[in-house]
Amino acid sequence: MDNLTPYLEAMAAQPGDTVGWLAEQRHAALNRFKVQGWPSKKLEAWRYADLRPLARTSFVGRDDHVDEQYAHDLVAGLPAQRGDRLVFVAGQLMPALSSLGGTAVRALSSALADNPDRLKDRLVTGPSAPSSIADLNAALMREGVVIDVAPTDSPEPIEIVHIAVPGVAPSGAHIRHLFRLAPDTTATIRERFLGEGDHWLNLVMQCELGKSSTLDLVSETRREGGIQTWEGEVTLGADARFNHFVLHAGGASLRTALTVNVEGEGAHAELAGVQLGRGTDVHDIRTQLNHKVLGATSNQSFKAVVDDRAASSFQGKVVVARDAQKTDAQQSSRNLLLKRTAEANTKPELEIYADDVQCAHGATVGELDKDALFYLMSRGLTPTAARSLLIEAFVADVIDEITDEHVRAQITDVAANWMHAALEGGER
Amino acid sequence: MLEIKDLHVSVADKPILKGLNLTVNAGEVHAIMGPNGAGKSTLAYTLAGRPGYEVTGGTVHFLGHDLFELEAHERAAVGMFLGLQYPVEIPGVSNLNFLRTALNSMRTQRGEDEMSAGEFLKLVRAKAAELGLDAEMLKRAVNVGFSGGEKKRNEMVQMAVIDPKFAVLDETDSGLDIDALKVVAQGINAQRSPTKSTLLITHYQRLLDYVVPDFVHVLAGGQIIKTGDKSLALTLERDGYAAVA
Repeated sequence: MDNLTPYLEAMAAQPGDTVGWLAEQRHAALNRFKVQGWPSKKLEAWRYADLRPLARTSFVGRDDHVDEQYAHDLVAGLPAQRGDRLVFVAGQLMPALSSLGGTAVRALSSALADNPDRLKDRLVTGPSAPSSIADLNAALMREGVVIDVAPTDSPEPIEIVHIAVPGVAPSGAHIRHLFRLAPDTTATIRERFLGEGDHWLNLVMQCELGKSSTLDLVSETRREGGIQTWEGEVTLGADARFNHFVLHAGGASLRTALTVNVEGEGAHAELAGVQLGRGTDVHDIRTQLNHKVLGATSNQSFKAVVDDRAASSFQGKVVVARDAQKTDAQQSSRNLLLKRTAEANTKPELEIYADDVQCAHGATVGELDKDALFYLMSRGLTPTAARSLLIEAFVADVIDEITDEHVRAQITDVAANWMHAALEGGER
Repeated sequence: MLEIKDLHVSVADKPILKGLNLTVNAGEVHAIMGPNGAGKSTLAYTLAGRPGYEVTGGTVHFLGHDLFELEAHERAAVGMFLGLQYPVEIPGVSNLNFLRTALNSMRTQRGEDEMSAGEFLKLVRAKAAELGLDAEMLKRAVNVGFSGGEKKRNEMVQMAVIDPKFAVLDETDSGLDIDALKVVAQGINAQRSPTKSTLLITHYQRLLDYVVPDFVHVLAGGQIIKTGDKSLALTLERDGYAAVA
């Protein structure tokens, strides 16, 4: 914890400090963090994540000397965006690179500066079981995105881009997203995590889906190096639908932890993800589905490909409460080892207290099919092309489930590029 | 085209081929028959370059190349094609994607331009139609959910599209009904030309009613023990392998 003292002093002034309840809450959260410290690998939820570099880092306060040109070039390379786009560089909003036209979307900093009391209920409640770094987020959050979708809002996709910039002093960015969809509304949110460097991004997302609303959320990470911790909690009202796709590619240490509270009958959560690890990447996905009411459904399918000495893990917990009869919860985790030195961990956990439910899980860890490789090579494919085709096929069915065809095509390209880099670039 | 001299091959340290000699000239169709365990499939896999088949002696020259200097995909690019007894299912890879990638990979290796998508589709649709493979099946994952006959038909479509100089067909006729057998024979006959050759590995004489070989060889105990013309197949069918051994 010593490495944090100057950091915490430097970060002392936070937006909304003049508001009593918020200052109090920040203070209390910081104290909880100080008591708990960094998440330990001894905790089951953190067993496979690798946050050790954080405990060793000498954090400094915010570094305002970010390379805007670097970020500008990255954003220029992105596909055109029809709806709102918010660009954060090392955690700071870049108005010049962002475009905000809709009424549904605001930056957290301006919402806090403007009228923090409007966010009070959500910020005071917070995630139901925050980790210690989610507490640190509550203490130090400065930026993020507040999205309140009303029936009159445009259904255009909302894009949130986080860019890590090389050479920035280690500061860590604590991002808080607050999403809320009114009944019968629809939203598409696309998160991208790009760039390179050691930057630590610590993001907490809270989301409420009203009755019969639908949220499509795609969280795509393809940054080089760095640590990213993403902790989200989504609450589903009756007949609400939550579709989430996670991509972990690159990054020294990436963790996505998502809790879904199914609180309305007929709701559905569709969670999918692909993790592509090489070098010494550490990728970790953890989901918890809390089925609390009658007749809701969830489906989870996750795939991981690990090369070199990379490690990936998936821990998926499904809790079906006594009253959640007729729940249908499916979960699958399939893992492909490209080298024997790589590591894939998969751990399904079911806690079922209702008796009339359908819950199934499947988990596999395997290698490329040698017969298929030979078959492809006997038809003239080079060993690299044959492996690439089989790996693409392995992840394709999960990617094919992405509903938006543009997103699907882009993610397919990202996966293909990763494959070529991994297979032709040798060990990173 | 292909010259095999004193070939010795072991699988898991067990000698299977023990001094096999065979010469196939351009334009010829050879049939290799023989009892189970004689080494027929070992010969096919060794020629195609499957891992696990260890060459312990002998040489194979193929179109001016020392075959064992080439990897499986390089052999394919030079003109070798292996039709499998059990074609592999590849979930998630469409037939079209597979064939186009294969074709262009070989063209690239040969220093030729890649075939355009339009040109490729035209070619593959024509070949599928000739061989009675439903065009819808081209879009499906390679061999996944295909019947035995459909898999073999698919092998023939692949062969027709790839247009190899030398085809080794390992019991492509096994387990087929008469209609599928005729399709396979049609595929093989279509590949017949003065510049191309075929090596048919088969258990039964039946296929040879439709594809008339120039030579018939009996493979037993890891060697070719007898060579004759098409009438040898009929003799074998009538008298069994023991009679010629």
